[in-house]
Parts: sequence; structure tokens; C-alpha cells
Amino acid sequence: MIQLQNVTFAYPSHIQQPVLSHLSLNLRLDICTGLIGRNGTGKTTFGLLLMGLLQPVDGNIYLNGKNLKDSPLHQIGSQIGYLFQNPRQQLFADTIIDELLFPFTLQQTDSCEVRKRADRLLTLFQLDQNRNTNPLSLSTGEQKRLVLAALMMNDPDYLILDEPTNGLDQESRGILGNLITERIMMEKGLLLISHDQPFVNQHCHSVLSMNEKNVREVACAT
Amino acid sequence: MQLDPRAKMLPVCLMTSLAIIRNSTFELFVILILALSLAFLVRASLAKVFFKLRHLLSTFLGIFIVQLIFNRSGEALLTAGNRVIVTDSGLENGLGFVLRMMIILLCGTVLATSSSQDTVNSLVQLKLPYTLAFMVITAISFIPLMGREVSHTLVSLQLRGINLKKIPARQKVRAFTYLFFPVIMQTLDKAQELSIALDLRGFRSGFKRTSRIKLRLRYTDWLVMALSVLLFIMALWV
Ligand SMILES: Nc1ncnc2c1ncn2[C@@H]1O[C@H](COP(=O)(O)OP(=O)(O)OP(=O)(O)O)[C@@H](O)[C@H]1O
Ligand SMILES: [Mg+2]
Repeated sequence: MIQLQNVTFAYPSHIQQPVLSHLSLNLRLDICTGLIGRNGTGKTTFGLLLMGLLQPVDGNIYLNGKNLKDSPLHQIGSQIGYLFQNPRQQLFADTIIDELLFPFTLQQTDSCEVRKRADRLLTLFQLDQNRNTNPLSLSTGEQKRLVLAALMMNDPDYLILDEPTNGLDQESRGILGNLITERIMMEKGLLLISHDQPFVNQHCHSVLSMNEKNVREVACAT
Repeated sequence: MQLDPRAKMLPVCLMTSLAIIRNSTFELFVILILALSLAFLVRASLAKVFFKLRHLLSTFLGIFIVQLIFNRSGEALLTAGNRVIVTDSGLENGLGFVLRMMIILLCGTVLATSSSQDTVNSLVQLKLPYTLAFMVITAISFIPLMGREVSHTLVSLQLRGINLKKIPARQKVRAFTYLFFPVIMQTLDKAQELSIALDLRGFRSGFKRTSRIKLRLRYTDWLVMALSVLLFIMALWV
């Protein structure tokens, strides 16, 4: 469970106009929650707050009872996978396969089992034809799939996806949809920030709508 | 006080040249005081700059200590038993290094108080080709951009579940390649986008460029420049 208690946030450059003010809500970690709202209402900001990448001006955020302020980034990162709006910010390696493996080789935790998982994920995300390609030469949609695969390497408990279907074709949407369904069956949920109404309606159990003033639940599937 | 960029460039050039020519600690100290007064005169935000560069400052301190301890020439200033710890030339070299670096930093902050537009204009009015002036300013503005990229990349690396503090020593060098590869790629991307955008907007399309703003030297500018030339000549004399 992610709990927000009376959270207020404003960017330092616009301290008078908080993006979120006095927001309290609970996010269940085992379901798919949609987050919709017009441009600039603070959806991305909300996601960054949940990752501890931005600190609330006031109030607290707890991840499974632990205050986010007290958790180091790498720990949050291995519990929650975050897909940025722009996937290029999350690519580091010079080959596709190394993109999945390098966190493990760096920390000397790679093993047969890790390599097998990488193989499986590359097949799942249909990236296994040329695994020595440079990630930066992939198309944006392919880069998104690669980042998703890389995030799944840590087997996170929760995912926050910022506009994941942006620029994905029908087939890639299908792959993402399957991944979501599969994870929900294992009670691993996600937050889906999106303008893609059909996709949100199809996959989310609960939908939050954001506007300039507040966040409210607009739909709850039975 | 508002000074013309040219009135800042002249004393900055003279002071940095002097700082290279002159060696004695006393002279360097005097130049530092002058640089500091210039920085106060143009109201440079010194506290902010030095806070941002605090890691660099600790590096200076490190180099100072190394100079102090490992420079064995000259006469002993501090001894423990019959072992020499600090010599006078070690102290002088160390202080010289720190003073020079401070002078350069101060001069940089002084120049940074003019907007890049003003600086380009003043370089052009000094008859430097516009393209060249523009290139200089663009190159300088890429430095903070790279700094931002580095911190973004460090954050994203940790989000992959990597504990940067726990990377074994043998893997540290490899970790750096995963940090710098994306930074360099992103910077090159930005540079390429910029050059394409410039071409699309008809940069250097053949017309002579004119500027609405003409910088004029006011009498305070002349005063500062005259004073700095005077001091420079005096410094060469003694
Ligand atoms: N780094 C920043 N500094 C200052 N203000 C910012 C910054 N980032 C975002 N904002 C402001 O915060 C508000 C919320 O931005 P945010 O990116 O969270 O919106 P969003 O809901 O994700 O929009 P979109 O649907 O376009 O992705 C906007 O008004 C924006 O101008
Ligand atoms: Mg957004």
C-alpha cells in the first residue's frame, strides 16, 4: 500500500502555485489504477513524488508503512519500476542484452538464472532478433519495450508507467496489455498514467482523475 | 553596478595574465583582492557559486595539502623530530595554486553576471565574427547542461536498483562508462538538434546580421577599464 497523508507539493520556481495541495489517498499495490487528467494537471509530478524523486513540501508518503524520505533511491527503484515519459533517459548500455544485464554484472549478482530471465523477457517483448543492436538506434516504441523489459528484470512489486502506450503500435499495446494481466494475476499492480481512455478502461480496476484542484476516484470496476 | 561586458573582459584578461606571470604569494594575494573587489562591484552571487562548487573547493584543498606534504625543496618550516614536514617552498607552491584557482573562479563569476546575449553583442562589437561569438557562448552554455545530465543519469541508474555505494572496486570503472555513455549521447543529441534547428531558422543564410541593441560604454565602464590598465602597467613595473 502507498499512503499519501496530506501531501502538498510545489515546484521551487512556482512555490505560490502548488501542483498538489493537501492530498490524502491510499493506493493499493495489487490492482491496476489509472490516472487520467488534462495536460499539466500534475500526473507526472504525482508519479515522481511516489518514487521519492521529488520531496513533498508538506505531508508524508509511505510505501508499505515506511516513509519514502527514509528509503534510498536504489531500494525504491528495486521495489517500484518507473517508466519515464521519454524512454531515452533510461537507456545506459550499448547493446540490448547488456541493457538488461548490466545492473547485475556491476553488482556482481549475475547468474545463470538472471541470464535466463533476460532471454525470456527479450522474447516476451519481441526484442530477441538482434540483441547486439545499440538501444539508441531503436525506434521510440522499441525503446519503450526495452525499458519495460529492463524494469521487469528486478521483478518489482509495483510499476508506475507514464504514458506507456504513447507511440506504441497495436501489437506492442497487446504485449503491454498481456504483461499487465499477467502481473495482476500475481497480485502485482501498477499505476497507469495515460491519455489513452480505451486502454485505461480495459485494464484498470480503479481510475483516478486529476484536475487543477484535486484528485478523485471516478470509476471503480466491480 | 551594471558594467558593460567589455569593461568586465578587460580587467579579467589582465588579472588572469598577471596571475600567470607573477609567482609570489603576496602578489597573487593582491590580485585576488582586486578580483574580489571587481566581483563585489558587479554584484556577482559569490555565495551561490561557491556553494555549487564546494566539491571543487575541497579538491583544491586536497591539492594544497599534497603540495604541502610532498614538496621537499626549500627550507624546513615545520619539523617533527628530525623529519621535515612542511617546507617554505611547499607552502608557497600550495598557496600559489589555491590563489590562482580562486582568481580564475572569481573572474568566471564576474563574466557570468552578463547575459549571454550581451556578451555575444559585445564580442561582435569588438569585431569578432558573429558565428564565432555565438559558438563560444553556446559551448559555454553546454557545461551546465552536461551537469544536469549527469545528475539525471545518476538518479535513473539508482532507479534500476543499483546501489552506487556498494559497487565493488573492480567494477567502478565500468560503472563510469554506464554513467558517461548516456550523458555524452544526450549532449551530442542536443547539439545536433540545435544545429538542425539553427539551419531551419536560416542561421548564416547570407544576410548581414543586425542587432537592435547597441552596447554603449558609459563613463563608469571607461573608469574601470582605465583603472585596470593603470594597475596592470604598475604591476609590470614593480
Ligand atoms: N521542473 C518543473 N519546474 C516547474 N514547474 C514544473 C516543472 N515540471 C512541471 N511543472 C509544472 O507542474 C505542472 C504539472 O506538470 P506535470 O508534468 O506533472 O503535468 P502532467 O499532468 O504530467 O501533464 P502531461 O499530460 O502533459 O504529461 C505543470 O503546470 C507544469 O508547468
Ligand atoms: Mg506527464
